[in-house]
Amino acid sequence: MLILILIAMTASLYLIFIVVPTDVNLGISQRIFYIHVPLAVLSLIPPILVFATSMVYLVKRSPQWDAIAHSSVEVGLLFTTLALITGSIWARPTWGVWWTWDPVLTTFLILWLVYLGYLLIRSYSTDPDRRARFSAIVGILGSINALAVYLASELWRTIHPDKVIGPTAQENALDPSIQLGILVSFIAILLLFVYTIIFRTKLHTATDQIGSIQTQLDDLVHSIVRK
Amino acid sequence: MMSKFETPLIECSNISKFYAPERALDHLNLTITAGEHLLIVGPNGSGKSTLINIIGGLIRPTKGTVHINGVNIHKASPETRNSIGIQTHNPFLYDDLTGKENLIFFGKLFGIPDIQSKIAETASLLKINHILDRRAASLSHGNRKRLGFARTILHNPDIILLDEPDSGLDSDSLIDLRETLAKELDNKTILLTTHNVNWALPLATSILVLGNHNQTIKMPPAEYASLQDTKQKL
Amino acid sequence: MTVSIIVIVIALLIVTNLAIPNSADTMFATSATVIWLCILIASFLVVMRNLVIEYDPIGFHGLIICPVPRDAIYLGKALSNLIFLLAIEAILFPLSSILFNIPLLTLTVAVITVSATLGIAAAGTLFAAMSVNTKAREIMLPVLFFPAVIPIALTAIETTQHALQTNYGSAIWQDIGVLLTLSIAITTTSAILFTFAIDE
Repeated sequence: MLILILIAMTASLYLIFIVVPTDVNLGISQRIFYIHVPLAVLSLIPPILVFATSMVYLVKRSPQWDAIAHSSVEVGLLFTTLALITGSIWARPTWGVWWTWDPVLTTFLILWLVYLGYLLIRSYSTDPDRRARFSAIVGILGSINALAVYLASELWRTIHPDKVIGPTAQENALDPSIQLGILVSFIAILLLFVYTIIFRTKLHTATDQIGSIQTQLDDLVHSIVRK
Repeated sequence: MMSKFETPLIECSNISKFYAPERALDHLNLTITAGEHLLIVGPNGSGKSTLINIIGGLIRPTKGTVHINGVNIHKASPETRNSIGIQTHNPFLYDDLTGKENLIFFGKLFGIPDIQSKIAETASLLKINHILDRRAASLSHGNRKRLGFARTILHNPDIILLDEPDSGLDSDSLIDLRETLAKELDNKTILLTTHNVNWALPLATSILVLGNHNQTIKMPPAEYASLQDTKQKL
Repeated sequence: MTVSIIVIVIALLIVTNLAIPNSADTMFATSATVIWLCILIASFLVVMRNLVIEYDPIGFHGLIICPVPRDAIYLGKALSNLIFLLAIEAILFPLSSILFNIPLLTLTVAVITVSATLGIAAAGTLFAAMSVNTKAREIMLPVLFFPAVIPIALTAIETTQHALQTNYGSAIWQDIGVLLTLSIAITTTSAILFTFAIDE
């Protein structure tokens, strides 16, 4: 899996820096677009994941689902941070400012705050069951806010560039090499995304298992001592 | 108020409670029959309050179950609370309400008919008429406990759980409380914890001793008394 | 408590009115923002106060010993939060109408306010329930509360701005529809999740 990611990343970087034509208006700085867009788009997947897995956790109470939700938020936080940073880097030469209170940007910031809140509440809870329950609640409500994020960007005026990729895109808006660049970049970052989530989930699950083995060991020791 | 449970029977199976890394309770098994007056004793930190809170359904055990009359108290519907009256170490009262307002509030939540006369009756029984018109925040610890006790027995529960009901009470109140428990509430199932064993011993039909290393022993009062005598002599 | 919240809100109104330059075209935007900011802060204080009275090592101690369904506890708390907030808004809006000289006392604004306040009260009650048991209560409530209510607040501010513009027309009802949907979604979700929050 890692090798695949390495190949994809290299291919994407090659395309970004060598193959793709320089944008007429924005110049070289526009190339960060190829990293920023996949990051931003993929940042919207964790809310859906967290929503689904949190709901399943509250019903089934199986720690596996909590681990997936937790990893999704961690990866979501990382990707949102990177999306915000790369977005800022792109914004400075393009719009002249590092930041603007455009609805899309604002709501990405809110998403970032929601992730932070999720991780904070995990760190403040000591009891594992309560921690998982509360995180699930924050995850579910936070995801609904993410949906509000999407609604906001659709309804209110925005200076964010019109979407040129995806179902609502205008046809033939881009040069084929640019489309290829975006596609490869997207795939590379998607692979990274999936890999990181799986990796973190395994890590959290393993940590939980170690914890429960420790408790069982404790139990055993205690019962021997009592006798 | 009529209780739904004819003969309350409490069964604790394998109760464990971890406050990581400490274990407040460890694989505790306990059966309590209707009408029993169980006194729970033990050193500080042995899990007395935790046990009362778990049986009362206030906190969940990490492992194990509590069945009251065959119903798992932690999974049951809220109606089962009608048969339980619990008073924790610090009785919860709304600070901004007066004693009487607190009793009316909880009385309404318990669905007690004719709440005013019930409050008057309970207040005379417990001799707390003088604190009813004072804000709960201004009451002393002992008075809070007495008001809390009134709230606990207001809905006439079959099972009464008390965590150190004697703490903070003056000697007169202590005698009154014991009398109330012995006479008025004699037919109820009572569990109480205390550090003041001599005060509570006459009330008990059995005693549960919780040790610091999660050892538990249940014994009749006579046996406990003789154990204490032996300890004294040694 | 109501009095202290009203005092805070009026103080905020005064400060913002003096500090933010108000030209004719930004008037609606500024005033809508200021008002909703005040409501957000008032909401936080109301929810916090409603939480503080339940403080106990065992969360919601007084209420869980009673034979009341958990949903009823949520309804009671949320409703009391909502009523308090509406009462504060009933004072805030006429006052702002006078201070900002803007047409706030209309049906559309009232509908917007009630819709948004519903969602804010609902979410706030849920987070208060979660915070009552947590170690760092005073830190947890703002961390949870503010990010969660910002989308409602944003939508409410935009919609209020549009409502104030006389030329916006019947499109306002579409905006109100969005706000109401969001609010109801959050209220329903909070109500369902409350049982899990106090399920100790």
